[in-house]
Amino acid sequence: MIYLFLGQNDLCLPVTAAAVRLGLLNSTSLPVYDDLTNLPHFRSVRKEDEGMLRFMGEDLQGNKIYVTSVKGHPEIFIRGISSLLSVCQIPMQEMVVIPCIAENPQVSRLCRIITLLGLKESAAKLVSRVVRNRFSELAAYSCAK
Amino acid sequence: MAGKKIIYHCYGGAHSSVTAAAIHLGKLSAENTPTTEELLTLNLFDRLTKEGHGELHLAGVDEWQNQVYSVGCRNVGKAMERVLREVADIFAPQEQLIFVDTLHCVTIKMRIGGYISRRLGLIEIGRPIVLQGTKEAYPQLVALVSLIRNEVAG
Repeated sequence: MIYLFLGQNDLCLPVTAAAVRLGLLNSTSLPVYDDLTNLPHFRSVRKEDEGMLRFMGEDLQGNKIYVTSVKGHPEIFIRGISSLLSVCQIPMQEMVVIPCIAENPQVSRLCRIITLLGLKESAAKLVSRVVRNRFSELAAYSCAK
Repeated sequence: MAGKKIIYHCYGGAHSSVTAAAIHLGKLSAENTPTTEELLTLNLFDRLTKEGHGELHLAGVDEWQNQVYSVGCRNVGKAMERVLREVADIFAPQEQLIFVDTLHCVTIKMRIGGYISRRLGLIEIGRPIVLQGTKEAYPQLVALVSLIRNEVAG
């Protein structure tokens, strides 16, 4: 089975949820800034990242964990994936798509702009705060069956 | 081996992609511009709503056993193409997906009429405009489809 954590404008939220699933982060304690920034692919999305599936690892049950991010309309991607699975006659339960979207996706866009301006550390600090604010929800997403 | 999957995509999946799929399948003649009645006989023409965006709609199977689909991807067609290709590579690497963006064939009348009909729900006002726009864009759609048909032939 494959779990795909889907972000909008950044990979930070999906990467965090995936990291909890993989045991790279403890779901019961709030991660510190360094824990987050050391995660692979923890960053704003670049043009070439959009829609690219990044493999994060395998969980204890042997499920493959991927992350990706898109610039908008995540619901269309969810429908598209389930539709593709259907037309390729692949059982729907083979892939679970879990949207990990900031409450206000404009914050992710702002982080992307700050990164483009060269202020990567400021962007990382801002997005880390967003992730920490949403951490309990992300940890819950990561436990999705 | 199963045929290819040819996926025509545009913004709303209600006009240009549906028309292109119908041309591909020979449901609409490549020689003559279709009439209003012919366009409206297409199941999805000016009917798909935003709830159907992202869903692949099977239009039919062509003479080479390729499955032809239409889909609305709003303004994220490229990213959608990449996601679906990557998912297909994981689960069904033998599947050959051909994505065809029909958005560049869309005329201003199609955009305005489509917006009024699909987004605002004012079908009586929007549909005649989008029908006229589709007829004007028809030669471009035929040219695009003939390129794809030449590519997949045999």
